[in-house]
Amino acid sequence: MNRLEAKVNAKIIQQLSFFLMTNRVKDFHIHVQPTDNGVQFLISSKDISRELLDYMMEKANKKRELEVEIYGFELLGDESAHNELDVLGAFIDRMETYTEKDIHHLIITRTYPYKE
Amino acid sequence: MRLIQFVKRNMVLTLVFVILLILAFVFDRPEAIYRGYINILQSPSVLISDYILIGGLGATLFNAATVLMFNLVMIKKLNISMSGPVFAGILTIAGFSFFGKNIFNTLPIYLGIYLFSKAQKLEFRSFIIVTLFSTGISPLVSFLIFGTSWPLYFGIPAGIIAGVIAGFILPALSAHTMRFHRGYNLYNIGFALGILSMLFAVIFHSLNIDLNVGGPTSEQYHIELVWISLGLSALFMIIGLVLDRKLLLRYPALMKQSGRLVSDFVKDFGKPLAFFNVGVMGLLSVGVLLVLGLKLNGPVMGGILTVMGFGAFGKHPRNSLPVIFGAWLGVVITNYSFDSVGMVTALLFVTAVAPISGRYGIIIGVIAGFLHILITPLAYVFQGGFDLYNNGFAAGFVAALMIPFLEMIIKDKKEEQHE
Repeated sequence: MNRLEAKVNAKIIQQLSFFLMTNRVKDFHIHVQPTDNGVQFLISSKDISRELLDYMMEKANKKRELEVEIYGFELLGDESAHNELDVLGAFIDRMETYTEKDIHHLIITRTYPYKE
Repeated sequence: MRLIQFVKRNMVLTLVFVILLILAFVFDRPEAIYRGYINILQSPSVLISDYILIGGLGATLFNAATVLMFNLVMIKKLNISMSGPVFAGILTIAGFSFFGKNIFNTLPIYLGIYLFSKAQKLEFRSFIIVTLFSTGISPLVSFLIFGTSWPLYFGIPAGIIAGVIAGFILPALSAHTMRFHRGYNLYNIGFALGILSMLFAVIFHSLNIDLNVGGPTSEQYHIELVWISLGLSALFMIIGLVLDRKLLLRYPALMKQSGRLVSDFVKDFGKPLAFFNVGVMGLLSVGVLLVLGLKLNGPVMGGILTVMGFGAFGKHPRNSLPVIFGAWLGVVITNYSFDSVGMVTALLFVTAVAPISGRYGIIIGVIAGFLHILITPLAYVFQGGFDLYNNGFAAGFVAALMIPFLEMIIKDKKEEQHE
């Protein structure tokens, strides 16, 4: 992972954690797991409502845009930008959800666009 | 069906190129276009240089067509899909080819960004949005070559080197300026270029180089420009409706968007609705100008095309009308006047702060438009005229002034929904 990708990952965590906290999700866990060509963010919580998960999916589960990634980089993780997750969508490939034993899980997958 | 597939793939811009090229030869003979085009290429191009006055309407349309085609070919070669920001960038370039951009003065800046991408070990295509909007500072190249009275053997390398340096600095600077206005200035790169322009202007000022080389404008082709604008607007609307006859059902959803960067209407709502909105924004722009009895010239035509381009990238009637009204109010109740072409173009370019209206409502939008019109002339003095996106420079200050305060005192509706 190069420095730029580390910065993007840190900003994604910041954006997600700010979003969850401002939506009264008090107890959650974010696990960062490297993959062969990128990273997965695994979020687990009992506090996340189904409605909030659907909202996150609607906002962030959009087409990946490399050109926006460079242009909008500084908007990602902006904690003053209310609850917008639109920018996040340009930085991730997929967002999936599932529920297991009352715990909601969110899997966010990002592949690194650039070779080391 | 073939035509529909062609339009879907190429987002109509190839068609716009063909229309501009044909119109060039409709309005002028080839010899006149050639002479006019040479005049355009040799113009210092600093704000405000009306290419219609400098080279004639035919040559200006030819210039817009060639610059448009060059960028379309570049997009194709780089295998970049026509997203909202890319569409906005290309139509903005076409618009500013009426007053400041040409194929000659844009290339050194592209080269600078290319070198930056190599230095960063990133693909050039990743910087495409910055690249397309970077040409706002292209007068820097033309000015050093043709506006300083330096000999060409000195002016040409100086202009090219300055352009390359500007292009090399811009990607990092524009990323940083995004934080300043938090995405509420749609012309973010205009703000970054304003800072760069200011730097070059003070250097030239310290060398006693006269920067006041902008000139008058030509309203001679007002009627023709009105028809071209209306025709292009209608074209986009009709193509949108042909591609999706039910798009009007989804138009209210698009108009609910704040438009804050990075709002890609092509990605979020599809090409047909984005096209339709592009056309609506064109009609709105021309309508406002005609209602106020204002004449079209090169810079104003550039403003119309830019607003149309951003119809795919953040602007729609709901977030644009309040700021336009605020700008109009600013001119009417102060000692500013629409006799100045800068004020007329500001009436269109004020839509840079449309996301403020989209997020915080009509009243705040009107205030943003009002503040914008007050700041714009001062921004021009500040940046020296090398940044064609002077309104982007002004809009950055408006957003930076208003957003921190607004975020402190006004609760976001979406936030309330989730509480």
